[in-house]
Amino acid sequence: MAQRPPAGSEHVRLDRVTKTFGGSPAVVDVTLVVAEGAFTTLLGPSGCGKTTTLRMIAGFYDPDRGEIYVRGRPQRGVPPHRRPVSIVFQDYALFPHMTVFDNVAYGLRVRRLAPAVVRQKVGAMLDLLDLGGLAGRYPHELSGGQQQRVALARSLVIEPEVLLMDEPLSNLDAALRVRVRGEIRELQRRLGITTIYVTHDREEALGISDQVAVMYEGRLLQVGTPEDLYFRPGSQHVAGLVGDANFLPGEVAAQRGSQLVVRIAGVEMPAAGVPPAGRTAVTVLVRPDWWTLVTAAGHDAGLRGEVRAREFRGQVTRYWVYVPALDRTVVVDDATGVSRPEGTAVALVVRGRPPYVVPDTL
Amino acid sequence: MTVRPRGDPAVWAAYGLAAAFLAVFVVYPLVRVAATPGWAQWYDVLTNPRWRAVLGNTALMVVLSTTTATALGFAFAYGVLRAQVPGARVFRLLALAPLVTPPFVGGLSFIFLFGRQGLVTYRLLGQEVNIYGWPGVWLAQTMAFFPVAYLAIGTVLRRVSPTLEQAARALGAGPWHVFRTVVVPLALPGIGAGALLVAIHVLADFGNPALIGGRFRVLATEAYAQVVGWADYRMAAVLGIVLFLPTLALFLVQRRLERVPVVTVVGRGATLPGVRPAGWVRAGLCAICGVTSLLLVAKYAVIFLGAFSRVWGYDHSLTLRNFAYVLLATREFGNSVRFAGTAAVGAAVLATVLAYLVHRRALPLARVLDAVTLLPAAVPGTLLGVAYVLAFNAPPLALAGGGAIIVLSMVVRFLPVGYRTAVAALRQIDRSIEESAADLGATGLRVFWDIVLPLIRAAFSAALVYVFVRSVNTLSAVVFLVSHGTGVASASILNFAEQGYWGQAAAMASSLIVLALAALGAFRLVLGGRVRLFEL
Repeated sequence: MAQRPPAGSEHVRLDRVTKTFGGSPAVVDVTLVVAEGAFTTLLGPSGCGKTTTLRMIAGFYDPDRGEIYVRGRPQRGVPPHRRPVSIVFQDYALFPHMTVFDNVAYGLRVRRLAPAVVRQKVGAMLDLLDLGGLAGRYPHELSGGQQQRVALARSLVIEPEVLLMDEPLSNLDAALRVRVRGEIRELQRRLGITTIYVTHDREEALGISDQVAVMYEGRLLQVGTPEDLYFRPGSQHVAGLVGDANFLPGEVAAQRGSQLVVRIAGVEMPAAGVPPAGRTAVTVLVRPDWWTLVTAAGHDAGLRGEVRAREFRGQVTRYWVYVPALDRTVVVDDATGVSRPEGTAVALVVRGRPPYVVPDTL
Repeated sequence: MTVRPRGDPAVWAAYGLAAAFLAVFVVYPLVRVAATPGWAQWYDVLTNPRWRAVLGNTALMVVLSTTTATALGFAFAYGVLRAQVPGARVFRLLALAPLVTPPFVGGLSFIFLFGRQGLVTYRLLGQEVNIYGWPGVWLAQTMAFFPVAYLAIGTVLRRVSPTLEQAARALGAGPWHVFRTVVVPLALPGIGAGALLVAIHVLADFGNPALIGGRFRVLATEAYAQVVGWADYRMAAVLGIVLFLPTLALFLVQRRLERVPVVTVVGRGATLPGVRPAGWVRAGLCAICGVTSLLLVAKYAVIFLGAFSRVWGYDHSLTLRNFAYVLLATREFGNSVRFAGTAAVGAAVLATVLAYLVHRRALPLARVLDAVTLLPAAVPGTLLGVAYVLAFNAPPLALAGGGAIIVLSMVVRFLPVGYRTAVAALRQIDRSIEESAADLGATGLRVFWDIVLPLIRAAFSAALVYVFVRSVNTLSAVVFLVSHGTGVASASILNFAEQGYWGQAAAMASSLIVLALAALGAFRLVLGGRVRLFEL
């Protein structure tokens, strides 16, 4: 590959990109910077505009407003095959009438490379992706995971600057998904190729990305590292999109510099985050695994409640606890393995992580 | 898992009746016609240069018409479905017109335009030319049968995901490269199927060669001449069988190809639009589709014009006399409607019952039943006509000369299509629905009546309309079976044309066209577009 700019410098930039389809806005005012060699994920529910954004980066549509730059060069009007990007489609789009070898070789042959060179490159790529021996097979003879890797090989073998992946794991079963996403990340690290990845699966996004961009209804809500988004979401919306969440009403009890104390249902506890200026009533985020659950007898600290439902999930047991003081049901994940049947009186204490004061209501 | 028919008398009765019908009206006539010719006839057909010429003519038409009709069908399919040429909607509609109108309308309008008193040759150019011969037949057949190729290719093209084209494009291939390496290879099964179907139609075509072939004879017209001119049924039988053999071969190949799975990738999420071909390609396709559409419109316009003209070629003042004559003074049109209507109901019912029996009940000899039901699709109308004359002109089944034999020939001719439609519809109904009904105590007949029939009602209606429209327009078999009092519209058009009564011929043809369109229109209204007929 040609000389690459240093990792971390800007590679792809979207500047206020907007796209509307027949009256309904699909992508609204999206600004995003993707660094060289980084793995960036666009995360959001169906219809949030992430696939449309990816397709604009790929060049299938141009934005109605705004610009897309790759290494500083504006890409408006540049068709997909002239952009230094390569896309792996959600349904792989493997050519059903060609063998695995011919599929992967397609892009190279279009570029009129010598047959010997084609053979060498394709062979190397198939080995890299653990597809050796399948070169003569047809797509319909392969498993879902194998098809996915062939699609990846086909895109990578032409040595693009940027790899785009549109929900590549959605057609695989759950166990396979976890394994394959690890392999994709491993491969990306090895090749050091800038990757933009689209998914609706938050576990996937948090697990393998350097940077996650959360989208909703066409807008970019927040960009940050997985930890940033999970522990310090910029809004309730982002908090909910990135993980399970309880949002509890509370008041600021005391604030001394960076030390913050909030009161929830009469119970005071230290908290993190910055409350909006001049407000005492705040919304506090407590994720299910930040609670500690104890059987109520004898405990006077924490919120009192009653187990309404439970679901054993192996590593944790999820409890739905009704807290009368808040008049709402709180979701709690308990890893102690102690079984508490419906109706048990319990007390909840925040110990895993301090509750987080969410900056605004949306 | 099929529901066992043990102890279900109604099912066995239906099975017996259906099998008996097929045996008497499909198998027996074909066996009879195969046994009719003697060695003398076979020797004659293989050595006599006259027959060789006829065979050569038939082969020529098959090669020429199939090539041009398939190419035109492809241009339409690609232009309308992929290249999105301007006017695609209009083209799409017009391309289906030849399927519902008599196939020999082309021949008739050709005479009106280019004949002795033709609009173009006589009135515009002042020439009196003899246009009878194979070029006219070629043109008429191409225009009549390209929709068959269009539908077959269109079905396959639709299943080629546009994302595949986009993927190829994104990997760097130009539009022509994408077309050559991705679209064409994947469309090839459709092109092959289309060509085979067109060839079968060309082989069986009687009306066009009869009207404008002149001295250029093909097997279908020659067989007819043998019967009408020489009363030589043996020779006609031989010619019919010679016509049957290649048709059967093509039919079997086409069936074999149908079984090859079309591998498609279906993904979630919105698909990308396909790759648009270059501007000049779209312009070219638009031109081809446009010119063809204009020719089609001209074809029908001329017929209607001829129907309203007093005397074509001499007196073009408008009149309703021709329509009054064909619709009121003669019985042929009414006969066509009655025969076709009866045949439609009969064929639809029989097809549905057969489909149910074969595919839902583990009955003995199911595969034989299936094959015999589909066999008529491989039998050219000419052979069917000759076979029926030979088989049913003496007791115990002396049906010749009556209306019943015409109705039966229509039923048998179009049974395969109704059957296929019903089978496809049945496949979409989950077996478990029937099994629950049986579990709750319903007998075979009740399950059929309460559960299956309502669910395939749409397919039943589609088969009904389709058989009606095809029966009203069919000629090549019924031309052998009509007689005094049981004439049909299509045969009478031929008679009018032979005697030079152009106005009446055109009026009858126009009436058939309007009838077919009305039937389709009513169907669309009643079923409100829930069922697609011809991909409309």
